[in-house]
Amino acid sequence: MTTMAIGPAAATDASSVDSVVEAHGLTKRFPARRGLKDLLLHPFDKTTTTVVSNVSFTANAGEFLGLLGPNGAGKTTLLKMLSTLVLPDEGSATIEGLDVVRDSAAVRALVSPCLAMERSLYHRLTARQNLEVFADLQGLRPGDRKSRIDEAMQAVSLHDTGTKLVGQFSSGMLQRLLIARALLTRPRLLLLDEPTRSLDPISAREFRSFLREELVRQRGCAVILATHNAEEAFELCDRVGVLNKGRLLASGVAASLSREFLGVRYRLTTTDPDHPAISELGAQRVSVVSRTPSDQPGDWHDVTLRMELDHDPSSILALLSSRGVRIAVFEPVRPSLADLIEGVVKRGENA
Amino acid sequence: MSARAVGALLRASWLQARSYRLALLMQMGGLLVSVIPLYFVSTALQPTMAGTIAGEADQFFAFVLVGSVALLLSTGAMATLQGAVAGGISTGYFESLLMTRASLPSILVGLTSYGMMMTLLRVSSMIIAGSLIGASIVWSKILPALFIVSLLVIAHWGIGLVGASFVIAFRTAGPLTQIVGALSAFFGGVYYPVSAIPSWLGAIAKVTPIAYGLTPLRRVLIQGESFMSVAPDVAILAAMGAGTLLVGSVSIRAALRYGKKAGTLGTY
Repeated sequence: MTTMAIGPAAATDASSVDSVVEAHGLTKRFPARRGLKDLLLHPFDKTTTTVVSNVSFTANAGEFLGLLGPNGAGKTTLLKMLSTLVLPDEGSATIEGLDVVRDSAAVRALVSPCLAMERSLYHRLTARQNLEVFADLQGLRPGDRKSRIDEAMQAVSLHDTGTKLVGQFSSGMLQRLLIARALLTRPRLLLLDEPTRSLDPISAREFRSFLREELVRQRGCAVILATHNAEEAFELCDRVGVLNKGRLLASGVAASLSREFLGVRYRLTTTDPDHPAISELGAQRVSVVSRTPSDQPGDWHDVTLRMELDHDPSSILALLSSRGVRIAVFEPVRPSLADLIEGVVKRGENA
Repeated sequence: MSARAVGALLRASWLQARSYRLALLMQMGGLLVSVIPLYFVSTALQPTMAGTIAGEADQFFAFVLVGSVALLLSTGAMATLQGAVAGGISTGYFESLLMTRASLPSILVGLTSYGMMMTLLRVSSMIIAGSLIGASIVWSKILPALFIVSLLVIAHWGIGLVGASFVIAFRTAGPLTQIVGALSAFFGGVYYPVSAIPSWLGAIAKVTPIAYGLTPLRRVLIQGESFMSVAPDVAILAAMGAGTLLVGSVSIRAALRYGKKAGTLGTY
């Protein structure tokens, strides 16, 4: 299993001999931008912004690790440190035992990052020509080159567009080509930065299926992906870590984190969302999270209820029914990723 | 260094450039045409300059033609890499190259190879066109001339590496390559021999690699002298090349380390 932990001590406990990634206390600070006046008055001052702070985690072969967090949380910088593109200021990270700083050349042979770099493609070349360039740069054997390119293009459903100029691609197709480029080398660790953000829903689903079935289950590749997508976080990732302002605030299975930080949520579909029985649920430690406006009396409306883990939902349902609330649906719902991140971040800030 | 990696980058640049057909044709045509005014101006100045250039050539047109070719190669060697790196940083392309298994020398040579090959093609066209309209070129000496040209390119490529290092670390090439380019043009003996410059200014020529490449190049390619007769100057040029390459490779590695530390490799 993928394990994530806050702080170096915890990470040491979590580390394992068969882990692909072991990161201990990774910290990165970038020089802060300063105004001309400040530069002139204090030329030797070094002002820095901490982008990643003391992050430790491990990831094993055949596992998905999700990185969640608001923009600027440090997800991309963390991925870049594992890609050897950014040097950590403190802490260390190894990929299959190789240090990302000392053994960077060897690490690059194991890691394939797919970061948001659409402009790094040759827009006047075809998709296949782009992949051929990178296949040669990656040192693929000439005998393997064609089959690897075909395989990568097939994986992202670009096999029919190999001869099309990249400049004519949609943003989703560009994203798929970047993913295909990352898949050329059959990496041991795949780093994905919001991989499905520009993909249509069908392509995104197919890509996730490829990741899960082919890359992770069959080849045993470890995947770390930064995502803002609930489906990926809840259904694809074995574990997720929530980052904010560079700190890893929580980690675990997304659904468990959601229960821990947000409680259990149920959707109630009723014709009377403003019924006093619903408002009085507060006495039972059940709160109303959201309610669709009831400007059309008699229509069905959704009310989202938040319960504690020890609640029995059937007793709440029975209570509402007994008070005469008309109920069509009463079912558990998954909170949004935004709610989860917000919940974790708020608790982290309060702590 | 991987020939396949260099070849891949060269091929990609060629395919890109080929897709802009008109621009490619106009570039080539423009250089060929530029030889004609050079011919008329230098022919007009021949009586005045004949005595001044006596040590390196008899014909002022051939003198200026070889000088212009050497300057184009030198400035090209300095500017191509830093231009490619600057463009690559702003698009994220440079980072994507650094994430591959290709070695740093392969990437740097690959990024420069197309630009330098085009420059070589252009200067070859200029020399051939110049020869056709009367420049006295000793074609039998082309091999030693190519050797000197290679050293000239290497010496300036080393300076280009330092310029690229500045781009990686500070997002600007700084004035280094511009200063070397200007010094080469005005004091390196491109349009008039170094001996024609006042001695106190001539000292500047002694620090420019082009001065040590241009004189032997002319003596071999125009005067038809043997390679051994120009060997001392070529040896200094080779030493300068080794020096600039060493400084350049140290500086680019330091810049990359700084870039990875400061986060200036990508579009932050």
